[in-house]
Amino acid sequence: MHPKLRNSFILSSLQHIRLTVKTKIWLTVTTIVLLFSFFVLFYVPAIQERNLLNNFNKEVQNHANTVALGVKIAMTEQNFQGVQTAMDFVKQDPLLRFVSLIQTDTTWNAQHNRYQITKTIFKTYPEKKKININALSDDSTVVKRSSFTSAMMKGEILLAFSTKEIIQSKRQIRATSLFFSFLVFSIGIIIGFGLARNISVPILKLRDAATRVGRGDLTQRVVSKSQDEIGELGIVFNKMVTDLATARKELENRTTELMVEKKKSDDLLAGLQQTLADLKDTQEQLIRQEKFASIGQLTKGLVDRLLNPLSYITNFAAVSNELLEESKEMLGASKFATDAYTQTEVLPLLTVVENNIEKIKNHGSSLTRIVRSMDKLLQSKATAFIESDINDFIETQLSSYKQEIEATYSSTPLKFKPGSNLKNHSAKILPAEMSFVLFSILNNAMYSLHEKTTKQLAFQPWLVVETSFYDEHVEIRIRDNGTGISDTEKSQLFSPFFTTKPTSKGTGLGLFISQDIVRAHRGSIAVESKPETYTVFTISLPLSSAAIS
Amino acid sequence: MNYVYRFAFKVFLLSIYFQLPARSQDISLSVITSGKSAPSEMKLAQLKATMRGERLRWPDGSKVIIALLKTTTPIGTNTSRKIYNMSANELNKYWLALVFQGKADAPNFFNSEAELEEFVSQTNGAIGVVNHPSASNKVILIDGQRSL
Repeated sequence: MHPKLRNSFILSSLQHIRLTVKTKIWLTVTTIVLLFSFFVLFYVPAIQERNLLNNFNKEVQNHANTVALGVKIAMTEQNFQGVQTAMDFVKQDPLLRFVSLIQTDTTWNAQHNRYQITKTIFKTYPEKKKININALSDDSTVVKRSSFTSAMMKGEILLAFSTKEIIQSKRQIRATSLFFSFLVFSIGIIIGFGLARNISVPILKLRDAATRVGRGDLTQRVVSKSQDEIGELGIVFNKMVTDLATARKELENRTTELMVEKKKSDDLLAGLQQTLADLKDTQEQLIRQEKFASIGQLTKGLVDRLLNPLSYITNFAAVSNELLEESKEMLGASKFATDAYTQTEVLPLLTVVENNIEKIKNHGSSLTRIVRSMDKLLQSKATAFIESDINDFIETQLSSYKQEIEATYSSTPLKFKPGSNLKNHSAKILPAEMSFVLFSILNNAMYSLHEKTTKQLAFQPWLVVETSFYDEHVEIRIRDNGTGISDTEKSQLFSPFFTTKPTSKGTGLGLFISQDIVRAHRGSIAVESKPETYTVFTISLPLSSAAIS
Repeated sequence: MNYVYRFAFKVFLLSIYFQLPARSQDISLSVITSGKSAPSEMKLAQLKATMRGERLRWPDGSKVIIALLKTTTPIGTNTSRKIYNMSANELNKYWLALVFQGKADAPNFFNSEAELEEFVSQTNGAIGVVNHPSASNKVILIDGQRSL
């Protein structure tokens, strides 16, 4: 990798490293403490050792100078006190290696044109110490020279001191430096730790509190004991959260007020809409009633006009058949028994006429039934709703139905499963009309079960009426396992004059009238069916508290 | 003017004369001491040994303190010759060697007899060499003689 690219990669990596406040404080304090510790550990001892050595060198040089001066004074003024004092002083020092008085002589050759400077050791202390005139300082010894000149003698003092104490002092300095650098490092680390804690802990608390406030918890408060800027930040934060909580509470109160107002408005609107719906229903009812009234008036006239002729048709058909029967009996007598024409032509003809007249009678009866049904439809309905216990009402109606039922249907088991009515709910109903509805649906169910029984000998029919009470309405369900209703038939089930029964069995107005009656009760009627399996009619009626008066 | 020049020349000669060491001048020397530390009589060899610093203490244990006149004085020169048998330079070197090595305490050199006498009289254990001893100090007989 190119060095520049590598460097930029390293830099970008470093920039992405996340350092917490605590880490930064730690790094800063540790760096400072380490620098100071290294300074104390290495630099200070080095300086001290150098100063120590320099001072020692100076001291030794001073001693040499003092001795040299003493020697010079001794030689020039015959005052040996100085050299004695200097030597006594130097000898007292346990670091003294030797003191030597070097005599310098200038030797001329015989021709006196060349000279040579020779150095000889005059005296040495300690006396038996062998020394090198040209000795120099080394690690263990400091050697200093001091020259002197007098009329009698010229030379130099060679003074050597051991650096043992210096070495020991160096060791002591290093040990002390190590101790103090460690102490400084430890104190620094402790201070850094305390500082990091004092700074980072409140900041982290503040961060966590701010996060929770951001999530919506306005009960958060930070406890701040410090008197510095962080403490002030905590106080300001607490005040901010308090202000936010107050503002939110005010907002909530205002929102509550607005919600109450809205609810009132909604209730008013719902009331208005309900009123509008009621008005629409009433309008529809009035229109329907008007329609029915006008149609009813027309139809009533028509019904009245039709019933008489139909009655004539039926009756005269019946009478005609009776007469034909008599005629056949008369022609069947012995007087006409031998007449082949009569037996082969007249009697069969009479039989055909009889069958035809029977058909006329049946159709006349069906038409009469239809017209009478229409008459019933057009009859003014009762308006006095009576508050009734639905379970009791249905039980009573089923008892009546079982007594009035056709013989062919009496073998079909009819059961009632009343629903739990712990709160003793009741519904306002028109008993006669509801009875008609119930009987219509039961009749249809019985017919369906009978049809299925004739087709499947092993079929076990059942018919169940059950009630279920809810908060505002009661459901009456009539269930059977008969032939069922197809989707096509279901779509027209409540249409007037729609029937799946033969003309002699049904008018096609039962469910139409039933739906009208249920709607008059502000209820609904629905059907659910699976062909050849089951059919369920569900009548839903409002309970007394929501019923119309 | 010539008189003045001649007078000055004579003065100059006289000064030179008095500066010259009195090699040929033989001055009697007396050994003095104070107190009772030093013996009243000594042999010459003992004196030499004492004056050379070979004897550091008197019989009573007190230190031998040597007092001499500087070799720039006639008495000092005589002392150097008679007692030490050394020249002035040799004497200085001798004492330098002894003092340097700590073998002997430094002797005390004085410029005048009066100073020496006063020093000896005030210092217990001191022994000095003068020409005309005063009454303040005791003269040590050297080989029965008051002077060398």
